Amino acid sequence: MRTSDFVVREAILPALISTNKTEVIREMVGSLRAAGHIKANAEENIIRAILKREELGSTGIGRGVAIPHTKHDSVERPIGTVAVSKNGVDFNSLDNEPVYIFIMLISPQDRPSEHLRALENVSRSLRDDTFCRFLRQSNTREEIWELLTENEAPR
Amino acid sequence: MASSKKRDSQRMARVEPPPPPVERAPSLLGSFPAHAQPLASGGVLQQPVIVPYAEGLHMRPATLLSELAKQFDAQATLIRGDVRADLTSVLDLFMLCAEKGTELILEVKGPEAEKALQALTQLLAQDLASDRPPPKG
Repeated sequence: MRTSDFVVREAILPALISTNKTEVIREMVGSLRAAGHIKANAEENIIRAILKREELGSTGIGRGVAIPHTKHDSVERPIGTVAVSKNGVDFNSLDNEPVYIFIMLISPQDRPSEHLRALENVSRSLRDDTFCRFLRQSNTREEIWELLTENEAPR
Repeated sequence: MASSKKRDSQRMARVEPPPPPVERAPSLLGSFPAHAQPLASGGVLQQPVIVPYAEGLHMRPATLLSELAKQFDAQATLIRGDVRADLTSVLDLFMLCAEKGTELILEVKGPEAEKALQALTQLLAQDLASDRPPPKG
């Protein structure tokens, strides 16, 4: 699975306004809804599900990265978005450091292998310090999209 | 004299112990059941494991394994074919893309290798880590 198979280009947020965990999740889900990839009547439910998942343990995995996610009946395939916070957000991360890069992933309930492949895909990029630095320095949706897709194999 | 020294050094080289068997891991896949005894060689412990989590090695179990691995003075690695994941790195663990039933090799070395292997194997034997909150009541 390629990044462009699940990241919604129009929902990418190069400069988050939000400054706390709940707001970040609301802003990102709202962006997916505004881009037409989440039904308006599912938005609140998805936000609650992602926040509930955060209660089990933060998805802030360190290195300034968080991957808030949930599985939800309202999507038919994995969808996601990417957001960058210029100032960092306290996300109760494993390393107690602020989070600057957020990858949100919403997957169907019954397709765990696609969920794993999406995680594998984003991890390949996020393990690269240069990629993370460029991502944080990006100022536009297009710059982020280019970074996310520049090493993808052609279809 | 010089050639005698050279021969000696060649002889020495031949009797040196082989390096830890990190490259042997792929050939071990499927060779041992999950309950097999750990293999010890060159200070490296290896244990075949099978991913028990219904939803695969996703974020919740990856985080728990990573947090557990950090508690020991040992270096723990999960191996799938030629992919090696440092157990303290959640991103590394995602690179395994390991669904339920996937066979992996757990490799541990360091002063607390045995303790770490025992604890990690125990966690890798339980399907306790769904991303879904437990049912109420």
